[in-house]
Amino acid sequence: MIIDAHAHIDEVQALGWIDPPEKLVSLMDKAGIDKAVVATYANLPGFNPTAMEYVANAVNKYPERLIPYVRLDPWYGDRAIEVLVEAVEKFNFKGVKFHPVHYTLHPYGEQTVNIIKKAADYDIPVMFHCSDEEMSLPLQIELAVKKVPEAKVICAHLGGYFHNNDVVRMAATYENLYVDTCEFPYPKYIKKVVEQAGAEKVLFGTDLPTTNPFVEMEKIKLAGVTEEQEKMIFGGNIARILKL
Amino acid sequence: MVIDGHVHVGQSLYGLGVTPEQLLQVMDEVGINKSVIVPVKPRDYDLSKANSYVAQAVRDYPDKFIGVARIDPWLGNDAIEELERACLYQKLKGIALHPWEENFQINNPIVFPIMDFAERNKLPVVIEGGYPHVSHPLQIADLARRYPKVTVVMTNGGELDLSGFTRGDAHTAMKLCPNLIMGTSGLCSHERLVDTVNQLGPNRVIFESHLPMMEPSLEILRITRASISEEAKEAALSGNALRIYS
Repeated sequence: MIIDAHAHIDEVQALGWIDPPEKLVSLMDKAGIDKAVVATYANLPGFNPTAMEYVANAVNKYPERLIPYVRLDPWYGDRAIEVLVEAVEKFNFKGVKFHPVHYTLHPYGEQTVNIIKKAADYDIPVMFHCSDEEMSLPLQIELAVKKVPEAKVICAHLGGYFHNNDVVRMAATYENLYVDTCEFPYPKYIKKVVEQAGAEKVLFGTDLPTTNPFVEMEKIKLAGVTEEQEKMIFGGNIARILKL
Repeated sequence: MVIDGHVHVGQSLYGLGVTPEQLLQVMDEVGINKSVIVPVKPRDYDLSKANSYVAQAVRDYPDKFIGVARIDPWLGNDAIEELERACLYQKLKGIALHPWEENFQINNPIVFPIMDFAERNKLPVVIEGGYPHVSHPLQIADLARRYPKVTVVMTNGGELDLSGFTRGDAHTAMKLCPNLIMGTSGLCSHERLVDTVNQLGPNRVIFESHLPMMEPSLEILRITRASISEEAKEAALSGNALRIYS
């Protein structure tokens, strides 16, 4: 079973990113990906109040294929927490996505930390866009992790093009810190996380549909890990975290 | 025929390094027939010596390598003299600029005399693209639009930004400057590659592995597994490089 721990569905005219669920599922079929974690590009609360229903409807259409995360904007404080409660309790969402570049807040600020604490109460993971841009640097995310060590935090993109060593160290340091492999270009850093933090810390991700799923899958195969470790990365680990 | 449009050879000040012989082995393993080779920034900071190293590799393996000279525009007239030596006498086929490692903004007027030299001598200019503050794609476009007769290759698709926000700028830069070509190393957005080919034609893209920073066996898949026509793949894998470095 191949599970993609990082993909998107949404239709955002302002960015020109028009990615309905059918487009994602068709790429998953082509590449042989069984299930994918999906989040919108829009944050909630925000400019598109129907974003949660959009994801919920997609999951209803593809219940065996899509796993929903709620993408939140901590600027909204308690309202963002209310959205999280509704997402988990009403729609059975399985995780939280933060993209701090989109809303420009420090990952370790109080409003973000409060949401991470709530996610930890539900025992659902929190995925951060974790790359080279301001507000998404690994060391900024590390300060949040220190405040809520019990939360399962996923550093997406393994630190981008330039911040990979920080992420490797963090994965080796914090018991509940995971990485995903989407978009970043270095198979050797997948191997480094496996060696220094353990294969259970690495999650295969694609960031579909903008990427090429074959490239994203081959990246794992080029990392030079054992067959058993590859299986964990391709789905075993995220299935365990999400209790699938 | 597969041509790798961008590889660094020599021991870099910043740690990584491959010799021409090690590169030949990688090319053999991945199925690359020819590579465009550019000097690293060497430990002694002497780009002139590094250019000679590249020129020697081309003399040693003329069927395997196309050499490009690297210069530091802060050196002013000395940089132009080095280009005369490296490109006119040692016959290197292009000019490489690394704004991140040589610390300059690509649209700084110190670069203009180099572009004048490129135009006079019909040489392409390769720019390490997508680095914050120094080679944002709109900075590259600001340079390229001033020299419409010079072919400008921006590496990394001009975007080293996984948030995706630079993607629109890089695509805009390509639309603004018909003389701008993009290399594909680290280019995670397959959709951007497809849009470039479909909207701007098959002649604007070249495959580059960016060894040793990136991994050739992964990078080549961005082209071979892309949803683009066979004609566009062939152009990206060899035709465009052959035209640019003729």
